[in-house]
Amino acid sequence: MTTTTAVAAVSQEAPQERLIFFNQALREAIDEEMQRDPAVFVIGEEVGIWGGAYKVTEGLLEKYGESRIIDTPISEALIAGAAVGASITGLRPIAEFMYSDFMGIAMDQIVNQAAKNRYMFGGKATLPIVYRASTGAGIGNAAQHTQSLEAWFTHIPGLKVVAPSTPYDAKGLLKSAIRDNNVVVFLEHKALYASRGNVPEGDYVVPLGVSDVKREGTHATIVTYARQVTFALEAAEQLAQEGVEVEVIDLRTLYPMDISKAVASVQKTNRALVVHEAVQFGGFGGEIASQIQQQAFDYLDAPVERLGALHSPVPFSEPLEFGSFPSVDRIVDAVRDLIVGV
Amino acid sequence: MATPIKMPLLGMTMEEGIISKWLVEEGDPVTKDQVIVEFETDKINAEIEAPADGVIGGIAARAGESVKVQGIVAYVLAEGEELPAAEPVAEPVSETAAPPPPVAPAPQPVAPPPVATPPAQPVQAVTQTAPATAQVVQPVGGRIKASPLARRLAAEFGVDIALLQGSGPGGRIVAKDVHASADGARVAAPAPVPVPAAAPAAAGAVPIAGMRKVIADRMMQSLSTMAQLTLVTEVDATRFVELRTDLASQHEDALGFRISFNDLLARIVTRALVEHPHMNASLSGDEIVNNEHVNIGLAVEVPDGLVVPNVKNAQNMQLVELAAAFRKLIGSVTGGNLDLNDLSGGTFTITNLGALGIDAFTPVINPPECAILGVGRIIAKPAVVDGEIAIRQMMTLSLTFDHRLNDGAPAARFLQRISQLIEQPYLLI
Repeated sequence: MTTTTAVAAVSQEAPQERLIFFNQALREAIDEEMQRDPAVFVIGEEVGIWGGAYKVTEGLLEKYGESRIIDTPISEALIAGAAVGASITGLRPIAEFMYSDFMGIAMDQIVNQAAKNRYMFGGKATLPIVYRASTGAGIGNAAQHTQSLEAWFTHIPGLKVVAPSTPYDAKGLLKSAIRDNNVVVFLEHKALYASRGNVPEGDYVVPLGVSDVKREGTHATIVTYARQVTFALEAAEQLAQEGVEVEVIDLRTLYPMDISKAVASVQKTNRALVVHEAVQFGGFGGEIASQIQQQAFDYLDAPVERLGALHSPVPFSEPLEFGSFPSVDRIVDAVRDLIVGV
Repeated sequence: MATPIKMPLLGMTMEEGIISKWLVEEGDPVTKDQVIVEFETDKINAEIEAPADGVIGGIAARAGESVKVQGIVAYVLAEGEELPAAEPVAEPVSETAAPPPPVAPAPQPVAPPPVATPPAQPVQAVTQTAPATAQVVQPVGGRIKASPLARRLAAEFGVDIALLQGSGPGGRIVAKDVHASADGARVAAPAPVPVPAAAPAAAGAVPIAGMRKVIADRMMQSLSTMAQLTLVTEVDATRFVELRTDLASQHEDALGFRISFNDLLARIVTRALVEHPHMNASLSGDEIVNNEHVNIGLAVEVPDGLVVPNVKNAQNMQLVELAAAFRKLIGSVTGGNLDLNDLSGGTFTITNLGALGIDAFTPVINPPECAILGVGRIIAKPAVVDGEIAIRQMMTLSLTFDHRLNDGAPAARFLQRISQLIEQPYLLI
């Protein structure tokens, strides 16, 4: 049969290549972990019959049934609180918030219960919860469905915070998050769900708290995470045409944060640009910039620069929306400003 | 456009450079990076390269004359171009320099400008009462804008950041500017001091110039600014000699040379300095700075003079590393490829006249260090050991120290520790 021959030929040429979507990669992580550990279950709005707003849990209801894929009423406090109780009994909930913006309603459960209980009970209760949520702008969802609120969570002791940029990292990090005995806030940029990347079949993990060099360069370092990694890589590609080699560091996990690769990079390039989609003022980039300047002060040939969103609710108007947060062009400009005189 | 050729800054202590030889003449065409003039500093011989293509004009200092750091030695002009009139062309500070052309009296001092940009400098007569100064832009607030990296590199290269022009945003001095300054002159081999052609020579007299002048100035500076006195002690170096002989044989095959007395002494002195940081100090303004690193220098004789290359961070080195580092430095001295960095940044000096039969002497401190150890000969002598007269290998040590920084007792304790380590060198372990 010709089809079989063709498939065999392709797999011989590129045996490693297996391009899947970001949301598929997340689904594989959940699916594999649910198979692996009967304590793992999913709870959230529309995660069952509808398969999730971004189809991350599509098909899992059929496979695991209503006891492990639980659709809830529209109550984020319920989702977060049920996960707290379930985790204390020994289960490993994956609780989905359709939009991280709605986590505001669940903040008491997340901040005062989930993040604190292990400590309040002297370590007698563990809360192995993963709070998943879609974040970010760029698909016309307007101000109440587009925020990047990671700094809310990185500021709370007791929470780990993850923000992957590629399907490979998404799968590996989500598996680590599910297996972790701490509360992990897992932030998925909604514009990344449809991005594709090479993801191996079967089990692998990407450890929490390990950053990644996504591109090597010598003239400047961009430190970023989540969707802005893809923008930074595009910007680096453009700048390479001008002979400017930019190193791109993907933090992957925001807490615990691994700043070591960024520091090592800045020791080489002497210049750093911190980029995130979140509002720049008071954003998580301040922490990144501060740690870089503290640990690489004597290597800096320019101030650590930051690029984040304007201090504005994300506009609904598409041109205004895209003007509000860092774009490839703005990153390119920022790097050019950073390396003036080099 | 006329491009000024300036005297580069080569090392923290450099104040002026003495022109030793012009390789081009007025009106000669030059190409960028061509070596055009040789000069000497307090520490090294170096060269200046043409900063641009063009024709040499306005040579401001002849062989034997000195030029302040950042002072203009000449210009590179375009074909047919006139010398710029608004800037001083010469800043010779040597007293033997030709008198400057007559000029209008200097203008009355005016109020400081409100911005950092200096006003165009008028041509000034160079007189002894109003010595010319290097053209340095001093920021109004006193704080020099420089990146952390630029500051670190400047410290490493011994470049005075106050003398640099920043090319970064807002005039910030960035790493590139420091590199450019450090690369501005290629360090050349220490060579015999050239006699300036124009020097007025009496029969048998040689003008004091070049390295000799540098040594003269620095030694006078040392003696006139420090409160120096010398402590002398005799030590029993018998075990020290035995250990050195054993170590030299032991390591000869691996190292390719024999570990010397000086190597072992440097190790001992380094240990003592780590334990007595007050002897590894220098006076910076009104502050005594206990140097973190022991950069130990060794006085080395060269034709017509003396250089003191130093090994950096000796406190982190084992004996064999230290010995190898000294061997490399001495190789550089004789090979004529000593790096500027090897001569700057020293924190303590050892000078050994033992090979010339000297016992005690009063070495002069190498500024800005605060002490120097003079090492005398090792000689077999009768000595009293356990109440008996025995023949022992005796050595005299002379420690000169700056009484401004240290008093007699702490200096004596430092010398005592060195003596102890020489008499019982196994204590090094």
